[in-house]
Amino acid sequence: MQAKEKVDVVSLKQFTDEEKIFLIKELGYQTDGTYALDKKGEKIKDKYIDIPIKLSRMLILPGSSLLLDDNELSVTLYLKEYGDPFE
Amino acid sequence: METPSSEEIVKDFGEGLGKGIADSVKETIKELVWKFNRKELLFIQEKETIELAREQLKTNEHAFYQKYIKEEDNLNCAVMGLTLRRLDIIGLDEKRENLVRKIQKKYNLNGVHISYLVQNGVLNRYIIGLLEEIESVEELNKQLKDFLDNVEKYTLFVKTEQHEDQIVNKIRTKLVANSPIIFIISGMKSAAGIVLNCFNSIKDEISSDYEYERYSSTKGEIIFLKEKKEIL
Repeated sequence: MQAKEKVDVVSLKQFTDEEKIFLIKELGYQTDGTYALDKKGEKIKDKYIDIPIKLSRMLILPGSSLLLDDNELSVTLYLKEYGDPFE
Repeated sequence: METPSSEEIVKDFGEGLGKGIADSVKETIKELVWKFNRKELLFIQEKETIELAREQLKTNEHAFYQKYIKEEDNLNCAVMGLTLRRLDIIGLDEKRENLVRKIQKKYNLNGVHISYLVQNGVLNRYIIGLLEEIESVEELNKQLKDFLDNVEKYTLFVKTEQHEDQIVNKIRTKLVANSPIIFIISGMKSAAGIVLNCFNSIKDEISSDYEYERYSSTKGEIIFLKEKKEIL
């Protein structure tokens, strides 16, 4: 299925660790190098499945700069809550 | 501000990879963040994850489940069943196993069972069976909710490591304890033969109370036992 591309998609797999760290700080978060942290230094958890988000599995989606773990369950629940960003 | 397309951005960005974080790369990331803040961009790992999720929500089968499953969590488990099926078809076993773990974490083992029922094409047949058996919409909703909330009571998922005697005993126990309108025995892949053997050994014993429907395919064996209606 071809998405109706109103928004662009950038794969974080293209990013080096340093670049991911810079990105996450630009978005107002912190990191210990492995996990995404909030401003207080607490691990940010995927809001749908309650697991800490690793930079290596991180998705950043619109909706108050929402960080999620890269899995089909979290993404499906995100699409149901926020709507399809491509439509 | 005139923004470059994301393809241009990513091309420029790629040139900075492996060279540390040069000022030009920092600028590129800032441009991406600027686009992100305008909701014009998503940061993902693999496009397949989001595409797969979008696809399942648009299927006719999802629309069918939306019509009959009223509880959001149960419906979500059904969608995950569609996703598991798709991951199975395209051979992404590691992703499928990872997804099962996520479903179990959020929705417990019963949630995994609901997902399996959808993945294996059992739940849609079960709902159709209920439609045939029950006329009242309220009663159908009640039966379906009870079934989905207590899958273990009304279903037996047969695994290859189980002994046939134990399986037959479990079927007997569940039929007596729960008196289901519909009871399902299901086994996928190499467990399919065991399902059939067990069913054949109990068929005569239960034939006065239950009629049956068999669904055989290369993927597995599913047997629906349907309670016989009393003829007045």
